[in-house]
Amino acid sequence: MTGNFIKTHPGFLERGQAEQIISHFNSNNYPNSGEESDFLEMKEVLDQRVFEKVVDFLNTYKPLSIIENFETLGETLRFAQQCCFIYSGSFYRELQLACASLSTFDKILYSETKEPIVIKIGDEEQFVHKVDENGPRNMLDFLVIVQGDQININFRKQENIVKANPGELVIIPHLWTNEFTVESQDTAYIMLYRIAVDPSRYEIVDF
Amino acid sequence: MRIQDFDKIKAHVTFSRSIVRVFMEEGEFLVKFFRGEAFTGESILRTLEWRAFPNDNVLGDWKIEFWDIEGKSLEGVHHHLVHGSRVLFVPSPKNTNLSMVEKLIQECRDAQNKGAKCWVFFEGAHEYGDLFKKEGINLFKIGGNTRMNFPFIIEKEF
Repeated sequence: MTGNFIKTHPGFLERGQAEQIISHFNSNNYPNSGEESDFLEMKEVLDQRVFEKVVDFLNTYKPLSIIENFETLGETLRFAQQCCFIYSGSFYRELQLACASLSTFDKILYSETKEPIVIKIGDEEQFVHKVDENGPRNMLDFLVIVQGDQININFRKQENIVKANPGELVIIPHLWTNEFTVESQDTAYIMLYRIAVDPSRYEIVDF
Repeated sequence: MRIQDFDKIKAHVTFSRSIVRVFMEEGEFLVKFFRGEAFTGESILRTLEWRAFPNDNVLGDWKIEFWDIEGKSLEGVHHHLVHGSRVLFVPSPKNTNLSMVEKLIQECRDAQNKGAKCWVFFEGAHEYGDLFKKEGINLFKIGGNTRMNFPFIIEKEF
């Protein structure tokens, strides 16, 4: 089992997509229908690409015992389709950071949403992430750096710091998601997809 | 997936990994495999046993007959038909992604002409999203259609 492996993908997010996300985040008004359509289309592509990375990560590193003996990508895909979902739940933060879901119509509290979460980190601020103990046991965090220079992701229990650049996707496997902080020298935006994995949903024969 | 007569015969049929496989959840039968109408082979299967024959990743109809173990009485028939079924393609490129997608779309068209509904999944599929949409080909999405069954799965190089 190689569940502790962190994977990074530079250039995951294009500049135009980053601008759309930040614009949406900072907009106090509902977007007009044209913008809404563009935004939804962009988000659908992002969701799809994250799902591709979920399947690739599970297929390559097999972080769960139930998939250790899977031989084909199709088997992993079947598992991921049935068992992976974007999870919100609540998690701890030290500062009152600006957070919003990526929902087009509402900026609801991130603890209530099942959308990916966008977090704005101001100068000298720090985003602290701790998984709710009542949440799912198996969690993959997909952190997309939307904007910001010199971003450090500090995994406290592992005493390891990962540096990330704008546009980069950082895949954090479930044994690392317990607690980490994100620090930036400048104002930064990050987008967090939290993928919960529930093997009890898996039905081997009826895919 | 469960066979059509699952209430009577507790068996499952899968079409993936280049094989057609029958798995007996419960009971014992003489199971006969037909590719189209051509007899392929037979085996007595008991609870938790399975038998498989290669399908060569060729999309086509199969018929599975369930006889009593003496082969005297036909107890049920499962028709594994392409028409009306979902077909999932999990391709990998022999050369470039572009040539893979061209061949994949052609194979999807062939499947659609047989009455199948096509789904595809591969890394980078989103880049061809408009093309697939135009062809009536579906992409997987996270958390969607989690209980959808796929009677046919084609996983091969294109």
